[in-house]
Amino acid sequence: MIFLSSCEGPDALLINIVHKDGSVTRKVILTYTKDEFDLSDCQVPVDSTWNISRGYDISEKGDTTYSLTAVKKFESVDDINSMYSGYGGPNHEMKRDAAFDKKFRWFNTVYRYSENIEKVINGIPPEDFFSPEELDFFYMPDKLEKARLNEPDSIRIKETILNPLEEKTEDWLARSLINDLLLKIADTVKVNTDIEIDTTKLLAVRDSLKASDFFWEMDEEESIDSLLGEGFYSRNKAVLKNLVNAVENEFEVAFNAESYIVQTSMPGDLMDTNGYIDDEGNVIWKVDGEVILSADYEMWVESKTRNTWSWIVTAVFVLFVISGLIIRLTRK
Amino acid sequence: MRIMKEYNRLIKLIRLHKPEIENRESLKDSIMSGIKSDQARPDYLFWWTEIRWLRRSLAVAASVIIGIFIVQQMLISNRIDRLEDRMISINTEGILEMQRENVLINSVVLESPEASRFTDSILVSTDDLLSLIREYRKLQEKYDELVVSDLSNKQNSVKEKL
Repeated sequence: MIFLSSCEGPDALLINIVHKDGSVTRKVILTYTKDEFDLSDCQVPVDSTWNISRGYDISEKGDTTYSLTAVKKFESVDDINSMYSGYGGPNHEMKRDAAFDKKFRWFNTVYRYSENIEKVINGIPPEDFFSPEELDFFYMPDKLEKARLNEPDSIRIKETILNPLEEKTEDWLARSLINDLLLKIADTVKVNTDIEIDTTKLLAVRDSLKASDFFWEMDEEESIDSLLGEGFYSRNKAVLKNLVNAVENEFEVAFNAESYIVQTSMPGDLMDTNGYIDDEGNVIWKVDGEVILSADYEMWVESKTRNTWSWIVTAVFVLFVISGLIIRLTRK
Repeated sequence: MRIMKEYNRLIKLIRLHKPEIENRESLKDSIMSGIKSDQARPDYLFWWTEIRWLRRSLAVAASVIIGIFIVQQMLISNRIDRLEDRMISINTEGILEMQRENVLINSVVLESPEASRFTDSILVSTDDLLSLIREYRKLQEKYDELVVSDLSNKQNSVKEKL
């Protein structure tokens, strides 16, 4: 969908290399057709304190693409979160933070790294709207989707999942916006007793609406009156205008979001994740307006490393006990 | 009491039917040496096996640790098996290659004066648009090749005539 992703500006790949002590080496690779990179315009926080190198690639057809690679090591996720809070770039309205956790489980140490982005509107969470197969492609980065379509049964995937998913996504977007607007109206009604409305009927109306008509066929007054009754908009114009503006402003955070790809590599062996795993064992997610619209978006991954000394201590202890029991039996 | 009576009765019977022991001295010596060796060598390593509660506690502890180990490994193995569904056949270089392709195609779109229409037009699938642009570029290349070959054919025919 072209609706909630940007075309202009460099493409960004953010690579997190998580270390056992919780430090993270971050690498940002920007790719563009011009050798013009503005770090303040980057999708993720990057500044002059990073180690920056530039390069270019000339394809077989003679097309030149330029790249900028920025690398920095952060001693902890707190430093990453400080960067996010001080960020003023195009995605500055996204509320992002990173978290790292390490748990000692005797035989293994389990590491968990996550990056979280708060939802933008009180819409319908994708998990409540799409099927598991559709969700798989909903969250899949476009580049991986293309790789998946190179595999067998790509025609089946395109016809049974991708094409219906496009239409459903349009419907989901519209319904999410309606949901947010209705919840705002319901909250306003609770506070402002001048507005008379039956909030239970209000939320029941949302499911009966044809969402695409609501946004693409009706103007603002028609939309509101279709939800709340004839004349409601003109009677409460000031309040409703503010609410609609608030929804639009929130939606713009997703609409204007500059998309990027996040790739994370963890210490030890991968155990679990909600991302996609490439050939090198890295975990990949996409970040764009759609995934952050209606639900908090958590990109998490867990891995483990073996605690060799504890395996040895345990083996020695178990063998010692077994030997003692055997010796006692033989003595008897 | 009954047990003691039985015990005493047995002792009396044994006394009445004493066995004839040959080599009393050597028997006595072997018994004494056996008792002495047990007393002389304390078991530093496995003394705990003689204390019932300690023996049982350590056996239970070892069993629990083995149980925890097995359960942990099974859980980890299950989680790792589920990861197979999330594997995609691509690597970092492949992603960067696709990004290079993406920015090139986007630059073609944005250079077009028609591009400004996309911001408020009907929704278009990115996938379809990118496929369209790729096919357009392929056609353009083929057209360029045709033009060049047509031109060279014409030049050759002119040369022949001359």
